[in-house]
Amino acid sequence: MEQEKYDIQKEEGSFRYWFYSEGPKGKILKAVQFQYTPEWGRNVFNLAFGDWDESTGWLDDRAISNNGDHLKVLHSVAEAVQEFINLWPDAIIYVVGNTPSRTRLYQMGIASYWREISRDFQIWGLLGEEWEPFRKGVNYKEFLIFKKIK
Amino acid sequence: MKTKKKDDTSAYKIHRVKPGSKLDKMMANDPVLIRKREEAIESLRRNPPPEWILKRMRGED
Repeated sequence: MEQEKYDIQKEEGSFRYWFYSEGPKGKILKAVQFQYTPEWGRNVFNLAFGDWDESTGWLDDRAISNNGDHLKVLHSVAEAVQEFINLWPDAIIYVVGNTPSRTRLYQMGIASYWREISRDFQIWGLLGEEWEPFRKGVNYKEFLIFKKIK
Repeated sequence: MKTKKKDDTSAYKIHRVKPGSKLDKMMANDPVLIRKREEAIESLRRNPPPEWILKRMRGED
């Protein structure tokens, strides 16, 4: 079944994607930023996600919108990840939430999207101090996402 | 792919950031992005992934 998600927009000449969350709290602009992290290699990007504060031009990754659409938001973030990796097929994306509950939300998003993304992508999770291939139902602290070599 | 072209919506025009613009420079100083980047570097140092993934990270595979 096709997962429900928002239309995302890529910003020209950058590694940013935008979409609007729509719900009881109104329209909230969300941003997904892929930060180049060459300290760990030329293919490494760090995912930053949150509400976009237009007054400062900064991301707010601690905002809790409660807009009643968290799965749709997560699927939209996953869509941005897919699009980004399709543009940068060698990219390895590091993902961690700013709190354990936010990381679990990411985990829910991956799990609910698993059938679609596992065809083309590998996801590894950090469990304790060891990385392992993602398994549903396991609580990981961090994630690495990259395209499968076929 | 549902990415919209730049003239599809006014929303795009509002949020488009020109390279080198004031907003672009503000984003370069975004404390959240700076913090997240530092956290990622430190976390991967503490718990590095398997060597074959490290090689992919470095583009050596």
